[in-house]
Amino acid sequence: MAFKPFFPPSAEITSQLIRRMGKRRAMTLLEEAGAAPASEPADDDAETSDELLTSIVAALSSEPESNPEADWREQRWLSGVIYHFLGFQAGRARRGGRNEFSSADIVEGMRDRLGLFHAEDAQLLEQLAGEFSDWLREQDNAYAAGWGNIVPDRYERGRFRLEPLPKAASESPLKPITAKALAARGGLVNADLIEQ
Amino acid sequence: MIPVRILHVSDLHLAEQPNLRSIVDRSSAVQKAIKNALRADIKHSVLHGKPYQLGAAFKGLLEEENIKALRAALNVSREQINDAIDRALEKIVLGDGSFKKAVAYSLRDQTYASSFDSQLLDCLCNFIEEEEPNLDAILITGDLATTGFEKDLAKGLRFLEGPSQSISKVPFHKKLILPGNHDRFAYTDDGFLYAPGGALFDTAFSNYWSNPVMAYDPLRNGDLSVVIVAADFGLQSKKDCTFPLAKVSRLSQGKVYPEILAELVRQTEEKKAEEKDRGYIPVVLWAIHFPPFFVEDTGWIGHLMYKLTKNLLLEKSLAREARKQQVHAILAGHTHEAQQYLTKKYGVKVLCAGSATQDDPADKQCQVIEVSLDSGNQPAIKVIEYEPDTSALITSFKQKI
Repeated sequence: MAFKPFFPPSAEITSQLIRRMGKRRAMTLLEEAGAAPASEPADDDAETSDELLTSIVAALSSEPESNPEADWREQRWLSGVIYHFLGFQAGRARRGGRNEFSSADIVEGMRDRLGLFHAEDAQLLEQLAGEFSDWLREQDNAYAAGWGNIVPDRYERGRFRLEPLPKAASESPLKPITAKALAARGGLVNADLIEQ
Repeated sequence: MIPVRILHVSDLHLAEQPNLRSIVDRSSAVQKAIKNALRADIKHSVLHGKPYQLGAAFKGLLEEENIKALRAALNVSREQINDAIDRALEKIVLGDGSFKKAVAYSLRDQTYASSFDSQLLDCLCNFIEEEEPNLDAILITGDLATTGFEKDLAKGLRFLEGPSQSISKVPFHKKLILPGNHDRFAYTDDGFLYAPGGALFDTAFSNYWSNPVMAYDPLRNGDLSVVIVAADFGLQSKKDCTFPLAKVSRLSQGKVYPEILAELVRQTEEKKAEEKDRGYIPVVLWAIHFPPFFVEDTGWIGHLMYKLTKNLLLEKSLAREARKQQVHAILAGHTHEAQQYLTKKYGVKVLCAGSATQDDPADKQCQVIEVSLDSGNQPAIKVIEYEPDTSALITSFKQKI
């Protein structure tokens, strides 16, 4: 089954979010470095450890490489993160969870997935959620994903509904297996075990 | 009978931020710093070690003539030794292809401690919550987090209990965890940024894990009782690795500490006896992070680096006791490569889960282990492997074909 392309976040917001993630990771490393007890002063490797930390922090904090191919790869990555976030929510909706969502849920979901918990990160996440809402409203009634539909609310920007596809019992790869069925398969011992 | 089903997952490598691309790949400054760190590591080993140790430590990792050059560098006066070693190392750095491969291999995931793929994590969460009614337990055999930093461990806890990107709908009693080497990475300015022995894991997951050995509640079905006993064989000190002078060695090795093994055996015997007294037929599984007698299947450099940096020390004692205790399988993670094998000589079955969500090039997978009793009440174990279902875009895992 072919799917229409999913939401492509803009290159600008993608670049800003990825740079922010790098900076947050760099901050964590520096915090840990600041909190760690210093090693013995006579250690002859202190200089290389410093070089390693400094170069990693610099790489994390720097502007990501920018060219059309790299930008597109990053946009696809971010798009995939949102897609599977919604896929996870659709799964919960099918299992009896809520199926009505808003931009605030996108912000919260992406905060956790991208590790952007600082107050100043919220604006970027809200921008991303805004781009998603605008894209969704441009879809014809609904967007058909692999796990179901995303249906925009025609009256309120930012609100949408997930309509997960029903899952037939036969689809469960772990549905209970009867002893009879097991016997028919020739017992349980795994023939793939190999002597090393 | 319906078998007892355990979803075996390992090496999630959760961190506060997911990875998009390896920092090692995208920064030449980081590549240079890593090379310098490994170079300094060898220099440190040469300066502080005994000449006879060099061959054992670097055999295979460095070409023979370069080991000889390092040995020769030690035969100069005290004033000249630093320069002599530097000259020998310069030759190695520039000329030894094995060294370069070792840098690329060993430090890609160890130095920076790369994190997880957020998309795969959602697939895994959805798969677990969907299949939870058909599972008796979800066992995570270590490296839930990619470091022992508080923020990375917090992501691990959110995966278990948080509102989103989590398996919080799975009942508490079904979630079984134990620490891996990454979960105990503490920051150090000495060597490669991380050292073993971090203890925050025990605090962060005190509701789930009791160090260093834990017997989980038995999983019962009919006459069958699956007893899982877990142990943490992570290095307790940076001095406990194969070659303490080489700091890269301390990052990923495990060690079968005799007192932990004794406790593992004691708790196993106790649980088995309890279950027998209650009228069940116990089937014992051991859960650890480091698989004994694992053979790295990524070429000779991979194999050598595995023996120097990633293997389980004193593994024979573990396999010997496992056989004595009639352990039906040892469940492990660590290697990022799903493998099922019988250990040579001891004949103990080892089931490696592979990595479920780490952001690295290795195939991702998890496995369901079905334990049952056959018509003669003999235990039987079946393993079914799963991989992310990327083709249908359904945010889940599917059975491997």
